[in-house]
Amino acid sequence: MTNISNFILNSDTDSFKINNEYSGTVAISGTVEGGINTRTFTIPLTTSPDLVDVYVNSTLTDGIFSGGSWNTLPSGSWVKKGMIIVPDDAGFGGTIFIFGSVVISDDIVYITLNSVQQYTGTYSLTSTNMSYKIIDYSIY
Amino acid sequence: MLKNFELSTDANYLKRYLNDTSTIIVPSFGNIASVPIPHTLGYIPNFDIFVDVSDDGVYWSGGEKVEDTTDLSVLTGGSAPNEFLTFDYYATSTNLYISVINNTDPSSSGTRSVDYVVYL
Repeated sequence: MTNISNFILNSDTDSFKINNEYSGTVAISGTVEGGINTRTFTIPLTTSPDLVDVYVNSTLTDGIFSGGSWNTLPSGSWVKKGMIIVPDDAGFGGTIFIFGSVVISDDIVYITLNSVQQYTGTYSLTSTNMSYKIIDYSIY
Repeated sequence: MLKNFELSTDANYLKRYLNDTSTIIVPSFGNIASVPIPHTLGYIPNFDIFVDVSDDGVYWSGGEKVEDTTDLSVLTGGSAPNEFLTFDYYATSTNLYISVINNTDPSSSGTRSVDYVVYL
């Protein structure tokens, strides 16, 4: 009988491999005013990723406004794009920040949220946490 | 006789757990319709969806299709784009949910096909 000392598998089909997963929480806070309000969060990774998926969890809404408030998604929902309700002192159900913009630069991931305010006043946000999960893939 | 052969590796491959096609009925103007896709993983999985947004056999990743928003004639009484459906998707530890929102087009109707993938 011969012992196997080396064993190599080959496949014509490339696979995705998960190199690393990162998670954390950032806070959406400050004030918003008339026009476009942007929040960009800078998240350093340990290595430069080939390709990432970003999921977030917060007070998510499907964008339906009814009875003076926004519909919320089921508790514990995570999205790859979506809308986050950030309570404010404007009295219109909260400011909606839209998530969906992710930029990779070397080993840094930038997550950007935008909100368009149609009135001219300046309003204070109630600090709201947004959890993120970043999946770093490569073709293997 | 060798009947089962299992390989383990330190490489964390993206393994396909669940994939199929579902159909969503387009709701009336201003409404939302959702389809839950059950999974039994017990945690938030990685996922993707692809939607035949205009029911023409072309599938768009994430259900997002770029419409011609440069046509300002709509502001002066022109017609809106033929389709303006928004597809949302999100996961909990028990379900993947896929939703279609009929934002602006009272004439949108019928069904749309959605391909989805859930990874381990």
